[in-house]
Amino acid sequence: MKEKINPLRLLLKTTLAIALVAFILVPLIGDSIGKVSLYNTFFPGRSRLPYSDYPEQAYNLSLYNLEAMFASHQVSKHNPQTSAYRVFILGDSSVWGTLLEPADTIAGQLDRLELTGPGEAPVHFYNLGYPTLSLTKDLLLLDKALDYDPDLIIWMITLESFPADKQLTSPLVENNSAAISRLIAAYHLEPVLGSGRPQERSYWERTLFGQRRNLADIFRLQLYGVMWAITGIDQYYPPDYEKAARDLTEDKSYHGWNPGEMTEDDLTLGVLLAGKQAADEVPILIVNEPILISEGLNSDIRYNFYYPRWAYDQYRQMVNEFSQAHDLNYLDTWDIVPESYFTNTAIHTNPAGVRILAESLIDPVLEVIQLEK
Amino acid sequence: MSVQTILMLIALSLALGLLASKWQRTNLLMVASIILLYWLQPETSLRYLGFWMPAFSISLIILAWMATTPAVIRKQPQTTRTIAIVITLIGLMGALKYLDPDQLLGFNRSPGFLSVLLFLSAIGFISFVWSRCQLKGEVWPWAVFAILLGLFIVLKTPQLTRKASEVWRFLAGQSPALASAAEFQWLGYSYIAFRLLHTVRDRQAGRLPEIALNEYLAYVVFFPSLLAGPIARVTQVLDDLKQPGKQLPDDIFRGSQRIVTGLFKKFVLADSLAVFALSSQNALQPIARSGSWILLYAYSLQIYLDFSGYTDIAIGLARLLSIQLPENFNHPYLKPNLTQFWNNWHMTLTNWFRAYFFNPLSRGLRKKKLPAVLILLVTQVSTMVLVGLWHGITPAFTIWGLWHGLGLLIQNRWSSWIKKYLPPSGQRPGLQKALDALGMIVTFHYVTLGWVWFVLPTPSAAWNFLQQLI
Repeated sequence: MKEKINPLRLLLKTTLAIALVAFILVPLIGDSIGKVSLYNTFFPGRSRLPYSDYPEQAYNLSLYNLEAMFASHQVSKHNPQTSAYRVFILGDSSVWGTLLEPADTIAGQLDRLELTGPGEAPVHFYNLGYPTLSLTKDLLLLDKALDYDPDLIIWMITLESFPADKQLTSPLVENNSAAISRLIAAYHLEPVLGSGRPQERSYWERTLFGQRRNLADIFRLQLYGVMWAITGIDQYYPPDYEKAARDLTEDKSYHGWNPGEMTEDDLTLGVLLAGKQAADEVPILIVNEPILISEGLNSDIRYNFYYPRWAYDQYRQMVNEFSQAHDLNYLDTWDIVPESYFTNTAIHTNPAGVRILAESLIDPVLEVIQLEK
Repeated sequence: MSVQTILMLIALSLALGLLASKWQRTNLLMVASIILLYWLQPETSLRYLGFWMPAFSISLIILAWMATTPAVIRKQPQTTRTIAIVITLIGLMGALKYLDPDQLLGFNRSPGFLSVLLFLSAIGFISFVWSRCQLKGEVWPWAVFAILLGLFIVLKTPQLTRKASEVWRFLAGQSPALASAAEFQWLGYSYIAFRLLHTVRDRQAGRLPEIALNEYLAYVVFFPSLLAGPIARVTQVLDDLKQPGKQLPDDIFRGSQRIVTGLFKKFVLADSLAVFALSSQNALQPIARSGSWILLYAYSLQIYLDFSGYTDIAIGLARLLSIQLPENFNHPYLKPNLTQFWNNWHMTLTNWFRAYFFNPLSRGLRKKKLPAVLILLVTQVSTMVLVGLWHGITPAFTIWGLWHGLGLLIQNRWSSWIKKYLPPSGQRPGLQKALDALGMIVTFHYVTLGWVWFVLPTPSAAWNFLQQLI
């Protein structure tokens, strides 16, 4: 005979179960829940890390759980038995590929070249760029990427990622405070980054109620996987966009510094070194990415919207000297892409511009791989 | 409706359920429903629409009641009391502009003191005069019928809705050039009109019981079923309205269960499927045929879970008020043929069309001694086209109606033909089960393919998508 349900008992049991999950289980599991993913099994892994301000059009969204981000990426589908070389490319939105289809990004174009390393082993390139300008954000991703067995890391940089005030404001950094604190302690970055820290999550923030947005985002990421698999779309491409400024202001200052005021201490060069130390035996190739060199109004003062000429020239010299001093593999490609190839910002280029950059990377990449062998 | 709105409605229903079981049940439900009619009316760029649309709904309901109610009931003091309550409520909504200048209650749509006063005086005067008139003959019910149908046509025809928006803008001193059909929104009109038409037709057929104005108002704008039905018959609600809830604890338990089921269906399942369900945005994006099928299956499930989820919530909310609304869905996708599908999908709408269109039309055609197949063709197709047009007077909805009308006809003929070759019912249960399973798969796919006409905005977009499936 069917037992009669006691509403009060049912309510009590349900409340207890919810409390157990919300206040004990979820804080215990923490961010590892992001490892559970339908990508690379039910759907193909994404070609780039999840990011979008227009989820409904892009079938993609910005979330900050690194485990979930990497689990949704094709980089996490890896058979260690294969002999292929795995090259990870880190950097900002120019690497991630704003306005570019996955195959047209720097990783996509290099991968299409079907390069081979020693022993004719194929070289595969993985896009691990993420659209915010912060070296610390890159370091966070580099540190995580090491779990996925890279053979070489290409780290694309630009001056705008270096100022100290840019380091901890990237949402990815702000939402991964524990990992950032660990990196700062491990690589002694306090003098480089200053005393500021992203706020650590409280117990309440780690419960189901505090984590509800994160969990919902992870769930939505899985749902958008269906559309990614069906359409191959992971970015909203606006029908039109405003082109990067060619006519520039007369302003000579950069981040509040006037000519001659910017010193090595103002730029977080030490983060590059931390990246090298974190990578340990995995070689890193640091590449200063191409920028728009304007020929418009006030182009004698500024290269583009971001950079006054004096600041950018000084930065190039500093990075060059720093690389030599610390034995970093460094390649400067700042002026290889013609001005007309840039799209909506001074660091985003069209597929033809990316092609030029890709071709310039072939030899240095193969050289590093050869050397390592 | 958002989860927050639904949670607020649950709290209100619980409080009302407890209070109204002992005191002023009908009046409390009427007052709550009228306030919610205002509160839920969407705010659009059309000036004062948020105030006038609920006011027009209430005026139409009073008009329909006057036209369908014998003079002896209209003259009762209860009528005057109800009119006074309604006028006070609308007056309060109009006065919120002055009483709640900071919009703490969330709406401030009053067109101003003078307009509200004039409107309320008009309602009061017309109601007073009509309540004392004889209103003999059939002219008044037919007049109400024509008004309701006319408004329906305006609201369901995008070009006419846009025109209405232009006129509204002109009268409100806004630019008619900026008019759009989307901004002319009348909360719950479809369901209000269906309930009113039902009472008008029942009155003409002599089937309508005597109903007091407050009962009539509480029935037509009953807030749980205002937005997505079901379309209950007045007698179904009237019995529960008149009887205070005798089993309130049980009603609360059952109602809560139903609401939780509805919330899960709508906000977990349907909203998840919506991410990859067929839409005008994604219809042309799949890179493979299988992708198009996934979009279509997802839409088919989403529309069912969304609609039946809302129905569960409506039935659950009503149950908290000790009112049992009729069921609207009964596993329609598991039915072995299209006739059974329509007997179990949006059942109250289907029953409405059957009672007030299909059956009278069939009777009329049979009297003319037309061939049975022709009668079936005319009745099935015209009924389903009307169901399609109820969703919107557009070519795409018309084709969707035709799709189902013709489908029902073909299925009817097929069932009659195949019957001759099948053993009598019960003799080969295994064969019957296999045929039912096959029928279920065919029916589900026929209905699912039909949704293409329903969801995509134009026949050409639908046709292009259908070609992608092959």
